[in-house]
Amino acid sequence: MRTLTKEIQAVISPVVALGLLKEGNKRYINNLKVNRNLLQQANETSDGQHPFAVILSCIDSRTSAELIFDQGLGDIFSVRIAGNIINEDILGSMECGCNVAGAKIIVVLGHTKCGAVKGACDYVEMGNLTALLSKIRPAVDDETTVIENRNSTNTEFVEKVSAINVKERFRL
Amino acid sequence: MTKLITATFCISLFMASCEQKKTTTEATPSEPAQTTHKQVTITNSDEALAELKTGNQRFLDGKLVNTNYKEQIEHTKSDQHPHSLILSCLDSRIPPEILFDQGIGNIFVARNAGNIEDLNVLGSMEFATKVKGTKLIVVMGHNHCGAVKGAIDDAELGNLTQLVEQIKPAISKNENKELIHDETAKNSVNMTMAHILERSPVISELVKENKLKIVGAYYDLTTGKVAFID
Repeated sequence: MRTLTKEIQAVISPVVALGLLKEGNKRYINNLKVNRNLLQQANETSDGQHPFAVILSCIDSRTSAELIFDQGLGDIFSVRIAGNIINEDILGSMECGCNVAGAKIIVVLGHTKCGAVKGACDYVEMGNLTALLSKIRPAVDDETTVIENRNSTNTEFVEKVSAINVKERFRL
Repeated sequence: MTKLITATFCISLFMASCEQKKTTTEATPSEPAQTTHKQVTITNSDEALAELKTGNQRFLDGKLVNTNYKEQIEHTKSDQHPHSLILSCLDSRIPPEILFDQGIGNIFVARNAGNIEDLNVLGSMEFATKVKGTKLIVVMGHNHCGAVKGAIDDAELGNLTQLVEQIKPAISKNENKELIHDETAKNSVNMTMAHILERSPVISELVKENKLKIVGAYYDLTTGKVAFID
């Protein structure tokens, strides 16, 4: 896989960008990887970067955007915060990726078994975590289909809240 | 039409040499070291730091061992027990899972432009340490950082304006302009570490109890080397 240059970035449309990510995730779930010389990529990108995507995902150790989309050095910006929430610093980071560095697509990536979403479902309060979980709480309230066991022990409820939590990022 | 042909050509170039390789637990003759799943037991902050140091060395040597993601997904599908949390920049050239050869399930990663802390980053760190028992927090800056450059150049753009404002107290007073960027980025790492302790009683308590360490690091994206400030 070639390292991204400004010329290649310029002709990748948002649709192509999405396609590249889908293909990459297909490789990941099949335990396949594109052949890359990572040190050579480090060298080739040392003067500048031209990534095609910004991915907002969780800090969870199992949601590394580079790994799950099989991307190399210089391919994607990765913004990570518990529960893939939004604040001014995250928006500033996305603006840096798109307005300054020319990325073509923003992906908000939620995930199953998210500890932050579970915490919000259980109304957990602890230190600075309280403020963070309050940003996920609207998704808990907006999930209205589950009537019983509206807590983290109910997997169906947690996953439905996670999906709503991703959608709500777009209007914030 | 010409534009379309150019586009197709460039994308094919990007996809060129797209040979896929299967990663299995069996060592293949060509790349035996890269296909071995690495099991490391880490019980304290020092062991976590040592694993990150040796992991970065494996990256520098081109001998990654944590690359069987399918196996790692299987091991971590019901729960995660990461030994460290890395706060780093969103920069596309510094994915911590790769630079430290940690793969899936071994490290929490928080990332934003300029590796700054805010209340939600602190909340993320408290989840990782207090709730999940992570032993080490690494705040990692890097050279050629766009956010640091933005702070030095007084850049203004939407939500970025307030972000670079947070880096400004770290701006180096050095008269040698070539040194200002690196010094500012390193000052910013130290400032962030101090803010974490000041602004998170949960984390400072864990540090006092010797259950957690916070260290600074600086990544050189021209060499791939992480220098720890410990």
